[in-house]
Amino acid sequence: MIHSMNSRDRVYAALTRGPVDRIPVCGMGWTIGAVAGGFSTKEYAQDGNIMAKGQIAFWKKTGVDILNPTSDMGQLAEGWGVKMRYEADLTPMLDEFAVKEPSDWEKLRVLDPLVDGRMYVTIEAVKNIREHLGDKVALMPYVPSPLTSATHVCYMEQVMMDILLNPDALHIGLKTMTETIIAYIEAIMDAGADGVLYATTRASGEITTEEQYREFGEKYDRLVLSSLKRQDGTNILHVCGVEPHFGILAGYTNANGINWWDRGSNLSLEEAKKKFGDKICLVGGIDQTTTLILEGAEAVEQEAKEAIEKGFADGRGMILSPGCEISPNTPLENVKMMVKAAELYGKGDR
Amino acid sequence: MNEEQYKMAYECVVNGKVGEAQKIGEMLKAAGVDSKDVGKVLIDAMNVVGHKYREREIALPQLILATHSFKKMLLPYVMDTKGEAGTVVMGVVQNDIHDIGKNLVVGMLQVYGYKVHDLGKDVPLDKFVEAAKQHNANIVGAGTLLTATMPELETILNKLKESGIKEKVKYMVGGAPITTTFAKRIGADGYAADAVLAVEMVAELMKGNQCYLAARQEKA
Repeated sequence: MIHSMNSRDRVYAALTRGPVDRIPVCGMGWTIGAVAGGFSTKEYAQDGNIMAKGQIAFWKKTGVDILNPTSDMGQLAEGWGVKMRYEADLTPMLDEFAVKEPSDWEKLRVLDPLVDGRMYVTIEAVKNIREHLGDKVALMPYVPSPLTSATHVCYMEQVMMDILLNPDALHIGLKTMTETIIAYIEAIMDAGADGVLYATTRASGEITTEEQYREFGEKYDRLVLSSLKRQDGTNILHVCGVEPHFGILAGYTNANGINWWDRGSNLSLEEAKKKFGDKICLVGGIDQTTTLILEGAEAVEQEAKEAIEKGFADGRGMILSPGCEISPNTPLENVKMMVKAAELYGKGDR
Repeated sequence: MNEEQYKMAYECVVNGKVGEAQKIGEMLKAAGVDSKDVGKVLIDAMNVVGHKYREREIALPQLILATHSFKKMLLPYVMDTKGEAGTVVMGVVQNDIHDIGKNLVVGMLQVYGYKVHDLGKDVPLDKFVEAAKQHNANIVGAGTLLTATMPELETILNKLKESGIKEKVKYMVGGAPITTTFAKRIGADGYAADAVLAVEMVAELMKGNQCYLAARQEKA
């Protein structure tokens, strides 16, 4: 019999594929925090205390084990000169890219996470949430990888072309972004985070070949993860897309979990459990594009039950989660149902 | 078009030689090659590129270069485009600037003979309706990459209905988080998982059918 665990211990145990009292739940809630707290997304994205209040409200209304205090893709990019557009109730938008031609990659500089862009918002939010909630929740903010960040500072179509036409220039930019991302993660960890949701969003077959991802993605991902002071693996990789390069990502060190869209990609939870279940903690099971946003709590419960049966039959190595950020329009009772289903069907002492 | 011209145009697109494409297009036009013949070779080339992409022999970087190459090669002929295959209005919904997929679909449809009115990205929702009326469109297409802006796709459909033109146009949706389930749920006539499948889907819509072409792995 496993004694009741707090959320942090539950998440740590799951990530090391150890025994847990029940399957943990990751909310993947970013700007839905603003909705939950009754704030405008604009103020939520620019004020760490408001982000903290919004995330705490989201936690109180849902009870998830992992919070991801984050707002948008511009938190780092704005520091590199990307112009943003802020509107009251919308996620801030990348409005004008900083890298407009290949020679601009070398003009990027290494950023100070406490000063540049809006990285400070997440850092302050982490500190604030930890002070208020202690061990009751695990904190894993979203941090984009260097290649993902490249597509936040430059038009994605241009980045894809630079992979073939201007690889040297792109590599210069990726190196600069790598240094910044390492500093950002360290600042997040110093503020009290447990790890990060490290977004390797371009590691998918419909975007890059494995060879391309190895050269422009993996190389820098490994550098980031291996450079961190903390090396206990409490980081979760996040990959969008329908054909994730799971084989590459599962081989990373210092990242014990992978979150992916198992309901929409070519790798189901069941298959991932068979192929990678002894190597890495699987983070998924709930479809954020259909079930969570379009259906009622009963459908969420059924989907969670099915996912738990497929990915958590041995009582370990899985975190129940949507496959990507949830829409701010997602009914909170559906997120809460994920936790209820975890309590009902996801007991670990089996 | 002689064999040498065909080979030159074909290889330019298949190999994504974007720097040479417009010059080749100008040479072909100056040599009196008809736009339909250029279209045919571009379709041959894009069929190969599309097949390689579907089979994942290549990925997005090569697909984008090939698309840019054929668009540049067509530039000298673009004024002659009559859109005999049909007229399409397309854009990415407001508050979303991710237009890479939309651009690929626009390029592919142009090669396949459609007149495409590209509204761009971050498009106010009313503009889809206005443009459909203005250009007497057969098809209206809207896309988004963000889960946050997915509901806008249904709003556009409602606006098309409210304006009274839905009976005249088919409505298609697309984007990374969009699925057949979502498309059917909101009442869209068409959905395709990528730009290559989109050509097939649009052809079905032009016949008056509904069509949903999911990625190979999507659940039913």
